[in-house]
Amino acid sequence: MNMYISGLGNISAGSPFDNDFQNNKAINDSRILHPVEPQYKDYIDPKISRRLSRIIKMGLASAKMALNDASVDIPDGIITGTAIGCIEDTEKFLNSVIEGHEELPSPSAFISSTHNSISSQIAIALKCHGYNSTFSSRGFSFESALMDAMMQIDEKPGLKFLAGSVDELTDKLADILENFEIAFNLNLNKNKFPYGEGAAFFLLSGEKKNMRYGKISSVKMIYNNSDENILDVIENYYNDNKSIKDKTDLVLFGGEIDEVIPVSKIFADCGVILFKKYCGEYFTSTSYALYFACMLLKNGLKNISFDAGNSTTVSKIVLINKFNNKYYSFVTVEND
Amino acid sequence: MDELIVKLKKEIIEQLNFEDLSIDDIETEGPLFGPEGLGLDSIDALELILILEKKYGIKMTDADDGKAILQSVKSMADFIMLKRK
Amino acid sequence: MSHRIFVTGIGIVCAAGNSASETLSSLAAQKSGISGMQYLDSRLKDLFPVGEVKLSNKDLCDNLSLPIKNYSRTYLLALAAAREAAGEMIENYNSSRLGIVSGSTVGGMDLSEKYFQSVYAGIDADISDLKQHDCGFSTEFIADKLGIKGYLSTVSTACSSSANSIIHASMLIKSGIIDAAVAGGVDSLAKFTLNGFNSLKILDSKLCSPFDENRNGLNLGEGAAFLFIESERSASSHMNDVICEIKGFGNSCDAFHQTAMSEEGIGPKLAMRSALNSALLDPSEIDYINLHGTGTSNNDLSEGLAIEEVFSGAIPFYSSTKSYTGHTLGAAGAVEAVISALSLKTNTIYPNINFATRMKELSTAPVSAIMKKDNLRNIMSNSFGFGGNNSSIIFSKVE
Repeated sequence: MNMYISGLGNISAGSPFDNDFQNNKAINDSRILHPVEPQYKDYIDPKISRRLSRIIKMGLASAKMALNDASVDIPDGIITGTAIGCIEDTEKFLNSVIEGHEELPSPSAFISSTHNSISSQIAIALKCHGYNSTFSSRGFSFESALMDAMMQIDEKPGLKFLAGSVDELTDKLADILENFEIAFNLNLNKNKFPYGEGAAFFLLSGEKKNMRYGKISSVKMIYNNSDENILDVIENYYNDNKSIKDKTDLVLFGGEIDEVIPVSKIFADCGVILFKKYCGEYFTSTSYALYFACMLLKNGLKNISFDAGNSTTVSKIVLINKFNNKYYSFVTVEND
Repeated sequence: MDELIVKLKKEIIEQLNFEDLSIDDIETEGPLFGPEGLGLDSIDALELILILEKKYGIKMTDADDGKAILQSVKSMADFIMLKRK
Repeated sequence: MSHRIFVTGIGIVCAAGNSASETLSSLAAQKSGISGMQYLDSRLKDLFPVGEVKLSNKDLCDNLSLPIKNYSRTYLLALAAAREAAGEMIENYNSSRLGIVSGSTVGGMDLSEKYFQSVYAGIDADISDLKQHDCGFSTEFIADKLGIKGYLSTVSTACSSSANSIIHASMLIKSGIIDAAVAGGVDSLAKFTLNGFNSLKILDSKLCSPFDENRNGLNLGEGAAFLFIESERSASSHMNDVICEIKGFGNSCDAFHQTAMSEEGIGPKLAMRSALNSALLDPSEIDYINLHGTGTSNNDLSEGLAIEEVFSGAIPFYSSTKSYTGHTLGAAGAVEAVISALSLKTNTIYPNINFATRMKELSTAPVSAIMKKDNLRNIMSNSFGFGGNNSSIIFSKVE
């Protein structure tokens, strides 16, 4: 079942097509790649904005960008992936409970702390009564949202689903993640790319007439709890999928620098780009890779200043992401 | 009383996260709830009750007419003055 | 090809019982599991009764043959229920065709808050405890323990989390992505949620009375429940006894307010109608509804009005079993799915305990005494969450 992408919205540190962003050393030296946030009043009624934490604003704004891009007012369903959820409000409420010794905590932070606040505030803003869900599943959070959208659209191809993700990173959380890496040799980020945060939403449907970027032809999540080597996982996936073997032009890869050449070899020497260089490391970074792929399908490889290896055309792109050597995802995005 | 009104307005702006509002934007006797007022809802009502409790040590009981007390900044100030006596 | 989804295993740990059979005994005896807090150390201990599982973390570790170490209670409850649901039959399945979809609101918050409490008090604490914080951690741990490889995910839609995880797993099986799944959810008691609901002033200081005119709020609970579900072909080839069928489901959004439900119950009506359409059933074919029925002023009114409209002319029997278990948040959908399966198995409707007066806005009232019903065929279970996430699932007897 194909999902045709008719609109997208993205809030991230920058675009790989932006040479200034690409060449900005300061970005690579930073600890956290913070997104460039829009003027939220362009997307969100100021009267309700006060109730919304930053992560909800990012989700809501990027969802609206996707709808505007697709010229759709109200989708038929909204599905969000967020691995860590509304961490800022969670911290706020938890602090108030602990430091206040359970006396008089404020309800506002509590009600915005639940993971589904993002999907639900999008629905409230749009008055969308359709299907609504939120996945919080570590490295599969965004991929689950895509899978869910795919199954919903498979049942009813005429429906239009907004599927996306958002994850935020507070300083406290970044400290904790760093602590895990140092204390437990847990190479969450071997590349030493910065940590990242961001939001991306896509308007998807089963009808080709709605396609403006490309189509998602396959979503696969592989849970590797038998400690198989990443290159073996990727090679097995490649060998099991004829459509990818036939012709993949480019791989957008969320793995490590020293895996790039072996992955390229597996994919018949096509170009492999490490997309986390542009968005940083975070659980739902596959959504950034999907945004990147959409821009490539639309604009091609003209005037790019990033290295696309041997690739000269882009009509079929495979996104490969991994988290903690356990969560592997493969998303195929292509022209139709 | 004027000082109390100003203090209350500042607390409302802070607790309810009205980043773009100043104390002059809040009418002292204007309705806090509903579309003609600041558009507060049931969660905001809980936050206002928290202000009374945390900042002024006043706990509202079932006997108190919550709706009337929280109707405007002035009615909140009147309630605080009453409880202080 | 048949797209029927069968339930062939159930598992539950909740205030009313540490297993399906214990929970059934409590239901049959109309014995509530709601009581004073025994294990959670909270300032609110003596103010609010809760639906606490009657096992300490140490007891849970012993029962699960786990070493005594700092596990989140969430993981322990979930593993116990998942093991009961999947049982030994899971060993007969190809692990790459097996999935797990769980649901949770606050994941390992019980452990995280203890960590931050210690840090605040200047006591040494182990930062690795925070690795159990997120909603997805217990799903991963269980997948590893039970040897599940085919698919794993976690839904987090507040009080409808595990209903949505059952729906997601059902769709995965219908799509042929997996053949069978452990589907359900978990949440454990935590100061975070207890204080959260208290800040909203919707906790009852006594045993809750859902759908009662004089109801006063909810009792927070904890628990875990899972279903083992599979395609008809898989159930048949593994020669498993079928407990019931997942006949249909619906998911909608109220899209009204972050916490309150619209008075007319727009979202609930849509979810229930959508479930009926998906099951190809007429409203008159539903024999019983297991309500979301939390005991709050807002939910019960909206849910009641929605039911009387959707089922107008043929309003089925209904009751809330939250007076036995408390509101188990992310686990609620699955807890009530297991209870619905038990109802079908025993041909019994388990009543509201602590019900006295019909709500003045409704023309009907919940079942308030045990009811034997030999022709109990189709049960609808409702889960309506914060944020307007509403889901309804229909469980049916397989003739």
